[in-house]
Amino acid sequence: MNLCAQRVRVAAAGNLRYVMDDIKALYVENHPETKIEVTLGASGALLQQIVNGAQFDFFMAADKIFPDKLKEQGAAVGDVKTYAFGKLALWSNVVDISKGIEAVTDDAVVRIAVAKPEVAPYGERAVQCLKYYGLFDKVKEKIVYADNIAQAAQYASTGNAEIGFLALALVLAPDMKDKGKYLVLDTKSYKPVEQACVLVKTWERNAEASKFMDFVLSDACKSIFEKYGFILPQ
Amino acid sequence: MDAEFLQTVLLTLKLAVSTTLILIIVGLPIAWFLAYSHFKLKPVIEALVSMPLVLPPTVLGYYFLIAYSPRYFFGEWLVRVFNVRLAFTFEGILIASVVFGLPFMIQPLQSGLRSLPESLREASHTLGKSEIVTFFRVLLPNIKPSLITAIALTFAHSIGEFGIVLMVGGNMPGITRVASVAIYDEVQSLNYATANNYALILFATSFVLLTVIYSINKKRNTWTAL
Repeated sequence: MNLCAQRVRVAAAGNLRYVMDDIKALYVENHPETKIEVTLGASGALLQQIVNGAQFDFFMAADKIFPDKLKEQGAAVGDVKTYAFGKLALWSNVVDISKGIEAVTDDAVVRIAVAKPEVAPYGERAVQCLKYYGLFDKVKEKIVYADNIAQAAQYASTGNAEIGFLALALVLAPDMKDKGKYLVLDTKSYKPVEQACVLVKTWERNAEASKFMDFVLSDACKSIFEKYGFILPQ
Repeated sequence: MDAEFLQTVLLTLKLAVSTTLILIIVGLPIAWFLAYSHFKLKPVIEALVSMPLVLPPTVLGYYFLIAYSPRYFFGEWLVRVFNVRLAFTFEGILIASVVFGLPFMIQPLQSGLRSLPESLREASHTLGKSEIVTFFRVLLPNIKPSLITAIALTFAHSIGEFGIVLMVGGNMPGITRVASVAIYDEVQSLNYATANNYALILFATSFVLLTVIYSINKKRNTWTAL
């Protein structure tokens, strides 16, 4: 039995901001001596940091390709596990988006916020979605690429971008929910957002991180993911 | 050297030069005012001018983003009257850059003016010269070192701006993607070679410029007694 406080440093994708608050609270209820430290960022940026030696124990990305890359580089321990499937949503507090994605072609929409596709999976899906509907070329001049999904949400919520392509998980959170309207986009218009996680290879084996990973994948967290619009893997 | 690289470097220089020029025009009157006027609220103005030194750029950037937003008063007024949106434009980051550079221009000028003996100014007045003539013909030439320092600091500071430009500019290639933001971007995309090129150019430009400016300064060393 450990006498010193355990610490798990989690690198989590931006769309998990509110999910992590809930998961953390639930875990700490049963493990009061454990400190869970969450750092949020674009999955691609976090991968880069970990590869360059950033001290994280557990990596929860918004796309399976990032933990897979980590594993390829020999910087991961154990298997990559999918914890949820995310959904892409359109969000606006300025224009009416109920009629659908065509709203992006409106003259009233001067700027569209999309997270940078190279590092943010939801940004990549947003571009795929626009291309699927044949709208990308029409509106690509209007797109402003945010650093990560959180900044895309910021552009949209401050009204500097009339419409934002955001993660459903962010849109359903109390902070965003009452501030604007959202539209869940058809899942066939983009490649599924398979969100996966993996343990990071650290100098010292962090047993608590293993326990936390098991917890995240367990039934106890299923209701939290569902609350934020995720679909759980079968 | 490819086109995009050159474009980014030129954009960075354009922002730095524009910011410095605007600040010279705006900063001289403010510095004169702060140096010579006496009124109760002066400390408040001085504090406001110095705020950009203390506030993290991201805080300022955030407030600018809100200010520019068409959902709120100022941004909405801009859209309504001028049909102008400032977020994600060069003009938007220029304004932010000017505000952020205020203390770098004003403080050296203000302290330069304060260090001049009052007799200089008084002598000019007794010879019948107006405030403006006094300022341009008597005071300003005597604070050349301060002016040069102010220009150098403002320029160098503007070249290095990152936080505020990133927040308000939106990283648009050719428009708001200055070298400091491009470096960050290229590192994130694992293009270390490109990032290194930008970094070297910035370093070399700033270093050469400052060396030249400080050598000019040295020649005009005005430690003469009056």
